[in-house]
Amino acid sequence: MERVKKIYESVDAIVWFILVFVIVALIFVPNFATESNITNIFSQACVLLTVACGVHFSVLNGGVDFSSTSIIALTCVVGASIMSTTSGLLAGKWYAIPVALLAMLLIGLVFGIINGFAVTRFKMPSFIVTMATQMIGSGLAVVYTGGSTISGLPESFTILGNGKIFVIPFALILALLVAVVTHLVCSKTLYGRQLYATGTNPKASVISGVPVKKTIFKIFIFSGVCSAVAGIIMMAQMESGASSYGSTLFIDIMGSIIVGGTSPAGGVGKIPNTVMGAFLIILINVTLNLLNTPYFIITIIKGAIILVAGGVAILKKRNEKA
Amino acid sequence: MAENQNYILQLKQVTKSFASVQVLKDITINLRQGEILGLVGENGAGKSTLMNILGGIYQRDSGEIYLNGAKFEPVNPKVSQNAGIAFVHQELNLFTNLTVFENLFITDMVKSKVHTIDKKAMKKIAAEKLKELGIEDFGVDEIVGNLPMGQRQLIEITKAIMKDAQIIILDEPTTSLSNKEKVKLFDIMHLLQKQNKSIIFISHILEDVFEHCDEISVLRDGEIISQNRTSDISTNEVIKQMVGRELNKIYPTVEKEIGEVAFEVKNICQEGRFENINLQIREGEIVGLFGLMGAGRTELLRCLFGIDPVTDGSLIYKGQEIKPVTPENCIKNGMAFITENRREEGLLMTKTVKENIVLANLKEIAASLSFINRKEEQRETDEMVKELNIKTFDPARQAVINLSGGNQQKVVFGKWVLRKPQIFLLDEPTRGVDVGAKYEIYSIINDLAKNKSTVLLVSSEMEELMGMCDRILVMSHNVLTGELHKEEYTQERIMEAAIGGVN
Repeated sequence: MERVKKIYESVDAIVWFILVFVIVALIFVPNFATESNITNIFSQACVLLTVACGVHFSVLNGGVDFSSTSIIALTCVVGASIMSTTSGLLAGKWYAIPVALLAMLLIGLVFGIINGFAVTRFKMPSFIVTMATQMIGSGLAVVYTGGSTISGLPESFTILGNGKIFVIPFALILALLVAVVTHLVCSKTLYGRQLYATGTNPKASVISGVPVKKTIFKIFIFSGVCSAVAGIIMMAQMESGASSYGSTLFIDIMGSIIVGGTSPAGGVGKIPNTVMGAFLIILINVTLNLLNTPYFIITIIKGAIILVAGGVAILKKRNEKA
Repeated sequence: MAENQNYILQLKQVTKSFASVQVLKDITINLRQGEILGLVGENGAGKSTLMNILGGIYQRDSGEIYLNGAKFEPVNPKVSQNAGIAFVHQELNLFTNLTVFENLFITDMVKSKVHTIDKKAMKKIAAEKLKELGIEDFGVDEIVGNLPMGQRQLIEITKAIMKDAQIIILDEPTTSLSNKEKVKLFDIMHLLQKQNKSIIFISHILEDVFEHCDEISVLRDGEIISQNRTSDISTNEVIKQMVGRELNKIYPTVEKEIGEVAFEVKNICQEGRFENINLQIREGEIVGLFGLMGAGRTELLRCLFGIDPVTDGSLIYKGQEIKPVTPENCIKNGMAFITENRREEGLLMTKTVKENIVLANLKEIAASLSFINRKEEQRETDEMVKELNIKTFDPARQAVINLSGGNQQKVVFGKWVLRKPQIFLLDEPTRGVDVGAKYEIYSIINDLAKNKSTVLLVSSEMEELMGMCDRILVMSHNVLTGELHKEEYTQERIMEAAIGGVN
């Protein structure tokens, strides 16, 4: 019994949630364990976990990055408008794809720089800054396309979205690569240490020589670039670009991070848990879809699960402390 | 025994463990009605834990508590409060954005008939209460954040006795007070005593304890060593009981050589505060900086470390200018700064001992691709834990918030000593630290000076400066008003300079 308790306490709450959810789903949900469903879960998780890993950085500092969803929209429409074989600016050119990808990453970078500059230079809360840039970004995306969807993307690009090895989509490999890199940055590097220190106590960090402003600035660079990569994945999976892409994603992003046990107050949280959080959210979506649950019922259930999971994660941590 | 009418509070064989560490062993304490009991002991001796049990914040493992002769179970803070136990914590728990009266009524605001908040009634009661305690320095409408620390402490005490308390626990109430404010506090203590209330007074400052307490109880390593009438015990005996060894000297001495001028502060200006501050410190020299509250000592150190902006002037170490003056660059050039408030500015309270110790040294232990060298990190941590005698069960797992005050301060020292600083700025480094840990901290400072560091030590304790420093500078109203060499030290001369700048 003692040992069971020890194992229970040594593993984060999110792991138990996923385990319990999968076991219940295996028993009660027909078609859950099919190859196509597993692939479906994996491919749906790609965009969410990529962008959540980025936003994770700002939550570690007790902030938020709303602009991530609009970066997805904007990168999708710009990327598609460059590489589309039917209407693209560089249609048919051999360098269309690399130029489009570079442009997309650049958009993420520019948004990161604007967000980071406003937050560090003018000491504005990230809540306000990124809300504003979110509005600007999603507006720009609509203006740029006039509201239409840009399709006809080259197959050599869309293979990223629809190709797979066994049940593993190519896109998942890219998404996990992002997760691994961000995890290494957070947990093993100088920057990671500075980030956790800043998120815990910025005053003490400054006095200990941590370049707090630079650290905060880089948060938004990571967040912006991760969002751009999420945009690349989304565009490949949808085989098109539209200004509506990513617009409903924000709640799932925050859900993934909170369910993963990251403290919204800053200083505490792990990327692997955020990744698992993203999988849990997608598991809920896909499973309830399999059961033909109406969309708004899904949001109700998801809300309840986030509430419970977030609560349990906090309770568990509190018990460990005492 | 339990029937003794004279005792208002009795603790019998109270024990408490955290995880597997026993922090309180068979505690037996008696508090008489209308008396002040001084509770002394080193940091980490268990004073705060004991009081937290009384206050209902922690639950004891075994033992009994009697209140007015009846068994008493403080299962939560509310129960203790209702039983008339008021607890004034070491850290102030005030809302700095609210007014004095709002803070006083924070737990139950007076409501009018229509259940809105009755400000008028609250202000009236608050004003009466303050008047009753003889507090006249501020009005009930003032925002707490605008008041100095000492006055906030008085508000905290007033708050604790808003409901009729019979027992008042004061945990280190004087650490942030000026002498004048301390006198006020003691007046209030005796006033409460006259109202037949009982007080448990926890303090590191033995003179205060001896002057104001009827009985003194000594706690060491979770055990009560003695409880005596104040007249039956001497200061030396108490110190001996506290540390469990003879303390011959309060200030360690060290053989060291004072060399050439190494650190120079030239014409430092800060708009609206400092004008052309100049000072020099020699290699291996410990220079004290004295001043009354608000004289600008802390502010000067913050300027020198680049935390607050410097409008003009320069810092020079061995002929090289340190530029720009930012904390990051100051640290790079061998400077270190221990701030006066370790919780807010010194430590990452929720992080581990290890994470705190290496915080200022992260760049040095970053290997290729800026990956942190974990082995080096652990080695440096172990080195500091050993060298500074930090008491922790596992530096990689224990959060500093769970350490005692003295050990927390040693972690702050560890962070800097690790870097072997050449210029060490210290702001009240022994505040809220017990006698034993003080001695250790003084030794650390001496060792640094022996290794040719230059030290600038700010302290409100004149004796500390006279015992530790080779030279004392005195500051008054943001101007350096005096300089005394070792042979010239007298409290009168220092004080003269400290108030000399008034006119």
